Amino acid sequence: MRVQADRLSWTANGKRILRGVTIDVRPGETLGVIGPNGSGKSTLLRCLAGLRVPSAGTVRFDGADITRFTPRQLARKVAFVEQDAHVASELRVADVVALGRTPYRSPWRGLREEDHAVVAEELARMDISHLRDRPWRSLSGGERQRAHIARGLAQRTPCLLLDEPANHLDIRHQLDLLTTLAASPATVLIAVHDLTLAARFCDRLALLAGGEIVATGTPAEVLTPDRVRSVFAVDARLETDRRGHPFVSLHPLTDPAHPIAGSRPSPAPATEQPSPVLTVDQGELA
Amino acid sequence: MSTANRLVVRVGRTGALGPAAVVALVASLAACVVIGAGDVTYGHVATVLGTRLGLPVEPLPPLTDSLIWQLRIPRVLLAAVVGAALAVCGAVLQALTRNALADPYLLGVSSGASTGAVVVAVSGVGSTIGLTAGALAGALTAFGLLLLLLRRSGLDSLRVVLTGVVVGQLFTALTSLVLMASGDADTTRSVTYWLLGSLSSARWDGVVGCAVVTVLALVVCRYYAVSLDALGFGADTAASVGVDVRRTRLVLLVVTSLLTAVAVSAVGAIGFVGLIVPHGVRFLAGPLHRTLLPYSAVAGAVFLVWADALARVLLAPQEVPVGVFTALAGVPLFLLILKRRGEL
Repeated sequence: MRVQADRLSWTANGKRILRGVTIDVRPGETLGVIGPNGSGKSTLLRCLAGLRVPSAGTVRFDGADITRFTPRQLARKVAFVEQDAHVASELRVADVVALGRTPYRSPWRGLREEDHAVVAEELARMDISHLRDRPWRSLSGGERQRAHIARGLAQRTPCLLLDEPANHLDIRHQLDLLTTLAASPATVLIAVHDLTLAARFCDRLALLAGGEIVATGTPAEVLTPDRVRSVFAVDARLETDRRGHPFVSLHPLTDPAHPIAGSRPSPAPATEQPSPVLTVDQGELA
Repeated sequence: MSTANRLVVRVGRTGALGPAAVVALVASLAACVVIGAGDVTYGHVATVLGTRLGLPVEPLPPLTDSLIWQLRIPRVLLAAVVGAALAVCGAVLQALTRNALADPYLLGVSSGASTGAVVVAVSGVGSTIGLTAGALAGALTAFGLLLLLLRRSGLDSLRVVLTGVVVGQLFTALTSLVLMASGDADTTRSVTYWLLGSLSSARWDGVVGCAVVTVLALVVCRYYAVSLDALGFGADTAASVGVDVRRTRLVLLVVTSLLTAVAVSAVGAIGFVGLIVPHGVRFLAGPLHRTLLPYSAVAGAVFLVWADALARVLLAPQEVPVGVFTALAGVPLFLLILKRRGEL
């Protein structure tokens, strides 16, 4: 499904969180939304999911304005997984994942056979089948995150929006999750902080700063050293590991002219001393 | 225990729970018709029902017959209806506010309904519909005020309960003011007794109206069962699985206000039923609203029927307001929940 946002703006309490955001995501594409804290990533995803009504601009799925859809129709087109949903629910994990079947259920009937099958499949995909009967409140942060994502996947939508989905996950599950999402036939938008994960798994990136799109394009086009330095205030270099996968090596800014780094005494001059880099890959175990 | 085993146990448990609930309800209704002043036996009750069904049975003396048919049976049925209404109200409010301590009494909604009903009562419009309409207006006003006060603060449990207490106190004060202003000693005495919560004035016409409204409201609540499950995870997650959050909240706030209004205008403000019953049912039948709501209705009915029977006999011939018993059972549970959540 093609997902388009046209000149989206969103204002909260007189403060503009998004201004004139335009993106066009092709069917099946995985788009990483990157940007510093407070740049508007979560708000953008919420507007795209129809959870916030933009103060200006439109969101269209395959050309259709999403304000025309009922909540139920929308939930069959797009699944949204928010970050850090702190709730003390007593539901079992399987019941939580089954909430993803709500847009297909009659309010009077229980889950059908096919709903149970979808739930079992997504529990397995997120590697939490063994937790299916555990109460939600007994789970760890990472287990909750995986259950939430399984709930989103159980909606079986042509578009997935995930806000910081790798949060709380251990490294193995981060890689598994991003691999799954990148391979998914759905159009996927993920807000992500880890630039290496973004560069490695996303077809394209959209860089947000101060509620505006600064750049969109392939990771190599977006993550230029100058741009990363001006937006994130770090020194970053997009490199390639021995297997040909991209990774981002990061260093604090040492430029005394920079407004943040310049206020501190400058550390040792940054000559080309090699810093240790650990590249993580899942292939070797397989 | 393997997953499959656990599943069998769960299904078996729920499968047995349905018939058990119905049997418990019918047995409680029968037992509590018999309990109380006057020598009423199960045989008498069967005879009275038989006479009404036109069966060829020897009728009872008119006094015993009217005690059973005009007083006892409507009273027990009204207790069942009000118990079901309050329990479901509590379960729905707990999900809607994501707060384990929500209950129409603790949130001040019952007090608002009392004020509305009292205003109508002292103005001399004695009809049941007038009282219920007044109570509904009062309940909605109290709800509106509660939400206004909580507008920007989220739904943290202690804050919700404290705000509810404030709203409740305000409406209790208003009720007293209205009573004093009306200046009629008889009205004041009867209204004060009714405010404590008592089923002694139950009559057939009240029961039927109450039952119809309660059943319809329960059907509406049951329709939103899955939405209530989803709302437990917050408005955004609920909306993203297709729940119309605004409509759900609006409909359920009106329906719970209506249930509270019907209960309060029939029997006064009986507290803590909505707190005690859903917590007990969650323990037995699990937290999914699809099962929680119907079982809460049945358990609430059983609970209030027995509480009222106890109220009739404990200090006989003196009658204790049933609200006193529900509070005695509810207060320790309230403290237990607070303690378990680490807020005390």
